[in-house]
Amino acid sequence: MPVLRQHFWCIVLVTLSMPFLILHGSHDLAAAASPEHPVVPGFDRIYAVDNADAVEGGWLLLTELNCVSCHQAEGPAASQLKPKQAPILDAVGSRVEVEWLQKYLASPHSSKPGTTMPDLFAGLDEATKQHQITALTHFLAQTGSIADATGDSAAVTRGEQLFHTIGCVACHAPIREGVATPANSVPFGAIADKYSLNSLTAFMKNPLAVRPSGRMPNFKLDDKQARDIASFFFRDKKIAANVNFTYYEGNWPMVPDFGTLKPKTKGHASGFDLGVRQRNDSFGIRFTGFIHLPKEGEYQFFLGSDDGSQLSIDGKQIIDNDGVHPHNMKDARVRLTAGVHKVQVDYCEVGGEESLSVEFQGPGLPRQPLASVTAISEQIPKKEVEGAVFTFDESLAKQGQQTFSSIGCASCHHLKFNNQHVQSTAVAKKLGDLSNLDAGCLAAAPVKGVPHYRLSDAQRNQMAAALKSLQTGADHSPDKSIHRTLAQFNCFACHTRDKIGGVEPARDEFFTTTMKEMGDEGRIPPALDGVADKLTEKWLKGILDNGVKDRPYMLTMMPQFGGGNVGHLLAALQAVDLKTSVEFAEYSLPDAKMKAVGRHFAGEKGLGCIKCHTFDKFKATGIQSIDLTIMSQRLRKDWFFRYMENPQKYRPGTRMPAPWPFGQATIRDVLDGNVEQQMQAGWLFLEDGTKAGIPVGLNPGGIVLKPETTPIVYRNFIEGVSPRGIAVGYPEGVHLCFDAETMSLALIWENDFIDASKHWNGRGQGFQRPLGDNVYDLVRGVPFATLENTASTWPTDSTAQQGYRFLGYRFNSSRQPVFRYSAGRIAVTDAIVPRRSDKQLASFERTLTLESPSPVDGLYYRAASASKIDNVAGGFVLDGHMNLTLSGAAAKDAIIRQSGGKTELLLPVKFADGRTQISLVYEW
Amino acid sequence: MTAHSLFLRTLSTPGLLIGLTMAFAPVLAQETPVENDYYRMDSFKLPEGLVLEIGGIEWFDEKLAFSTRRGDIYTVENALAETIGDAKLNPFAIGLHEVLGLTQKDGWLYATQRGEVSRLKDEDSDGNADIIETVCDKWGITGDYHEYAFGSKFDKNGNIWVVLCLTGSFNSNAPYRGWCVRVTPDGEMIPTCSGIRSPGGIGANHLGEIFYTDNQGPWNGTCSLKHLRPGSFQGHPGGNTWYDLTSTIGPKPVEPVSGSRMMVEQPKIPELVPPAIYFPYKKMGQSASGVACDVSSGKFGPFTNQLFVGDQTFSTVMRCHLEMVNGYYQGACFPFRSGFGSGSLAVQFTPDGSMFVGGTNRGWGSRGNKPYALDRLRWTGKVPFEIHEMKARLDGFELTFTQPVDRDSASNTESYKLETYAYIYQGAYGSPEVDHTTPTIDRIVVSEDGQAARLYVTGLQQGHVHELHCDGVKSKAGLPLLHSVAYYTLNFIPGADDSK
Repeated sequence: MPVLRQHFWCIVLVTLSMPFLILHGSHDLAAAASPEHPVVPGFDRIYAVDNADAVEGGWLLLTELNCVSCHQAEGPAASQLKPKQAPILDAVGSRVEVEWLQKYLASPHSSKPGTTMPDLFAGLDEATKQHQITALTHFLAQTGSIADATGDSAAVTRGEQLFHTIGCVACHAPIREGVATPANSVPFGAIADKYSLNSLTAFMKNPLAVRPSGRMPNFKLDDKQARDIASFFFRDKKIAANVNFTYYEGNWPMVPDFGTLKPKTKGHASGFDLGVRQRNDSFGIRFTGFIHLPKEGEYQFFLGSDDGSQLSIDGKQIIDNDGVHPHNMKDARVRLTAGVHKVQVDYCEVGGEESLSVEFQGPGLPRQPLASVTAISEQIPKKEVEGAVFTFDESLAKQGQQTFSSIGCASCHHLKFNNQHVQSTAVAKKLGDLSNLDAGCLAAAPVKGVPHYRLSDAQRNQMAAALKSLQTGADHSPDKSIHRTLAQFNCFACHTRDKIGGVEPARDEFFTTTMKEMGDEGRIPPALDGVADKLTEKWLKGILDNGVKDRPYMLTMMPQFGGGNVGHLLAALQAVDLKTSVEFAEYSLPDAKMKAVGRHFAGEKGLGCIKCHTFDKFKATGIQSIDLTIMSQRLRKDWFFRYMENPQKYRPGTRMPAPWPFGQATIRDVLDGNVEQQMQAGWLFLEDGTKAGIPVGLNPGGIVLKPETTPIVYRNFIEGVSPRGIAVGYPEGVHLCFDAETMSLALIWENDFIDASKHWNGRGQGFQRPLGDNVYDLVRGVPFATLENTASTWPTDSTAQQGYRFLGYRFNSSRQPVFRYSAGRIAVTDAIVPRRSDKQLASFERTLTLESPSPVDGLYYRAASASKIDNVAGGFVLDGHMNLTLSGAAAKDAIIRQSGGKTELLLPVKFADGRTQISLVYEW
Repeated sequence: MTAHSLFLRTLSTPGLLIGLTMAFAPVLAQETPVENDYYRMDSFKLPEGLVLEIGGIEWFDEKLAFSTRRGDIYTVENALAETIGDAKLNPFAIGLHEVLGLTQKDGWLYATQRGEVSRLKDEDSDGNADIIETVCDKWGITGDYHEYAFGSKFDKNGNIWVVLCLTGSFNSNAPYRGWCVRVTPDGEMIPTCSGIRSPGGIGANHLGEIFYTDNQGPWNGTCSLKHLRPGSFQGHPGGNTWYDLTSTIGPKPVEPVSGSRMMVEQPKIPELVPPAIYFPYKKMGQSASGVACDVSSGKFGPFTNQLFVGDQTFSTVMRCHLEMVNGYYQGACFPFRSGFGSGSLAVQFTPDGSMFVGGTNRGWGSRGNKPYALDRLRWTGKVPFEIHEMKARLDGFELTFTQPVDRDSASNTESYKLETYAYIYQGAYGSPEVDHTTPTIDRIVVSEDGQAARLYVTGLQQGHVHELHCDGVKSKAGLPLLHSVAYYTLNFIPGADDSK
């Protein structure tokens, strides 16, 4: 396929510029339709080539063909050769058709070309073989029963789309007209013959439940997605007749009593199918059938029709959807016992469109067409085997159980029967004791009593080489271990590491994105080089354990392989990848200041991260790349710092520009252009996750209030303040919220003031947090109180109870509001004005003026309540970063005390001539 | 207008020009009269970039003052100019909390915010308020958007009446939510009535009695106009827990039985004052709002002393005629004027006899499709042919008309259609019309002067809305009624129970 290949190289080398080499199998695509040998994609792609590392290829097969389930491994090999657990067969009868089972057992390789399941009856005489297979089939059939169903065409279409986009075709062959089956495709066999729609749906919902080995990973599909994909596989499946019908003609506006009428025809139908009608108007149909319910419980039935319909169960009407109407759905719940129930659906059509849908759900049964469980008679139809009716034979089943143990089925497959694991009685040499390396399973021709895998020559040779290496000692370094695991789980189908693997040309078109302009970066899963250096341990473990969906633009999903299967990668990847090389700079600014810088960087006037990265619920302004608020959880800080200088080094071809290209600051007027400081600021900001301030430029619906020449007052519901908040934004860039319920200066912050859109759109529900940075939450509660002594606790009664009354505010000549309130007989004004700080910090100066007609004994002002208050030269430091300076007559008498789990700063209030002032300066 | 909307939120730019535009071109000769022939609507063209969702209007300092849901107060100079003119918009105060009530006294403008009644003054006469003074903030507020506060004009005792919406439709999560309180001149708060759900406006009649509108929802089968008699219970028990906090209006009333009828419960609950007028849902409107009384002595036309009530959803103003029966107000509502620019919220008369209607449809849709609007309505001097009043009688109704009727059509019972219905009085949301009846109009006597028609009816239903259609009635001049329907809320039949 030179053309295709050339096209592919074009993408890789020109557009993506990813300088790694994609290795792929030597198979010609067209020739790979029906593999002769067991397909292990990692092997076929990497080792079935000339000059392959034969020992490694063999090691891969030893796990993937599950050799160690029979041939016990010992020593260091034991930990490297974790068996690939075969499907659990506990309830295989409720998952798989009996007929298929029998065929598959008889010839796994022709039923499912490429299967890794060996033929266990090779070399046996035909009679013995048939007997053993029949016995095994009976044994397995008793684990459950299966009901047919078909999907609707909309589900098939959706399923086709899902199948070809979420990553199924990374390992499996695409199923599209005109698309050849790529080599190295994990075979399906005849899925629609094997499963029922329901059992395949259940399997798709969580493949790990029956296939814990993780080779088929869990995509965590919801019910609908799983059923859609299953429906796609059942697109051509026609099921046998399962309802009786009698057909009538006449014009009935309501469902007539069909029992008294003479039918025009009658017969059996597949489902409640109006296709049995002979004309499109003026007809009626009575459908009858039997349902076999496995459990007693509450069942819900759904009856939709155009025109009238009625549903009865056991002769009792439970849904009446009668009359002439467009398609209309009704439902009813009814409690039913386990066992057989008769159902009857009567339908009549007058004119126009006609439709009928009958569905149900119940204990353990998701909503589905009722026809998936109906039968034409009370007898649940027996499964047919080889054209004959399958009649369960208990003695055959008993023999089958013995066979299951003796020929080694139980060595690979878990099967719990009558609450007991069926144990294998098959005996095989230990792996290390295998010396005759072209005999037994490795023999070219089938050997009687030995599983036959139909191995290719390359497979046999390499397995032999691996077995030999057991004696000489193989390389089990972390590098090898990683490589083996990535091959076992076919991670290489999507990812590259060490220039191995990556999307194969034949599958490339199925890797798609919602963000076409992101190019290949938006659709091709990331390279795994250095992945443990990049991702935090917690995040990487999460991915291995559960899968991940961090890249909103990428349609291919990273499914769950399971920690039990791939969890060991974590330590191995860390051993190989982890680098710690960055020395994080000390910084002198308070964290809140640094975060403000970080927020500035993230915003449109800084480095513009938000142009491509989403931020929690906010969409990015350009492409929609990974959410900034999860970055600090995902990424190792050390890696992040290195990445910021040169993203291309870590993600060749990425669109991500270097925020600090080659360690140079592009924004030089912030933090003196110091790169280390700037990166620290960015990281500190990201560390706040969803609690971080919203970067500038992100909320297109925002109504950002900007005080430009005079202050802006905004009275509304402010987060962290009572519903009587009065926010004031100042042109100087520092802002406050005064709480008119507690007479306290509640919040102060800097930079952006507030976004009014929450309150000014729609009905305006909710409290709005300040838009800016460096929000400091000051003391709440009454500002003044008379205390018996300095140990008395600060009163917590409401301000009204303590005689406070808010009086409003007056604007001074700069139109700054000066708040006024009374505290008993004391009149208070509270003037808070922005102040220029010598320390380049945000700053407010505040003057409280008190007037009282008579002295008040024991009156204190509570200037602060914080987790800690340090007395430093000339003032106080609250919580380590709020500098508070007091002045006024009594400033020198300030007391720091512990009270109620907080540190408080109290100031005695002394009146002189009925008046006193307290001045405070906040710098933060 | 190069200015940014944010720039306009500062107070330093007085004198923004606003145009005054005619909403309708001069009326051409028409076969059938339309509302605009009698009440001409002029719509203010509000400056772009300013969002003026009007919640309160007052005539203040020879200017029109209005307040907005965003919390700003503007004054308009030359608002009464006859034609498009140089009306000027001035920001008076910025950044209050959703002001839904303005009144004025002694140079102070009083504003009812969500959390308080405040008064504002422009001391240095630069057009901007310098003093924002809290008069009373003694009611509770939780931060729920539903907790609106609508303030009245001053009553004759100098009080402002404030109706406090519940926390949501059902609950009262802070003191006096679901109550009407009076704020006295010295800032004290007197809890006055309970039982309020979700007011849309408050206003006085010509006698100074205070009415408010409440909206369809729990315990309110449809929207209505209710009389705030001090001590009364207005029907929604959600806020009755606050009787524990006050002794001003006596003990907690008996709980109404959900699923009953208003006039079945009313005799059992002496405090329960039934709605004076129901506005039948989807017929008259869906969200009753501002209340204003025409005391212009004829400047606004023939409806002196009648109440005018906005409907936010229908973008209308309705007309109400009240009478006192058995000691309770009751009466009829009539369609009056439709076509306001946005959802009618604030309704206010100015001294020249103009009506101003401020609108918004933020959060609740309206037929008027502008997001906000300020419209002025003026009587053209032509008297529309309308039902002027509808009064209940023991054995029927008495209608008066604004013009003499054509005797033949007005005395013909076929010209009328009468049906009745009630609403379920219940804790669930709203009510359909129930208990329908069709009384018989036995005969009609038209007065000598042709201005009145006496309808003798068999089968009046106490507690029902009586929906009367007079489609066949013609004026002496041969015109049909401009609005031919009336809805009379017959809580009591006059003279039916002499013991009361």
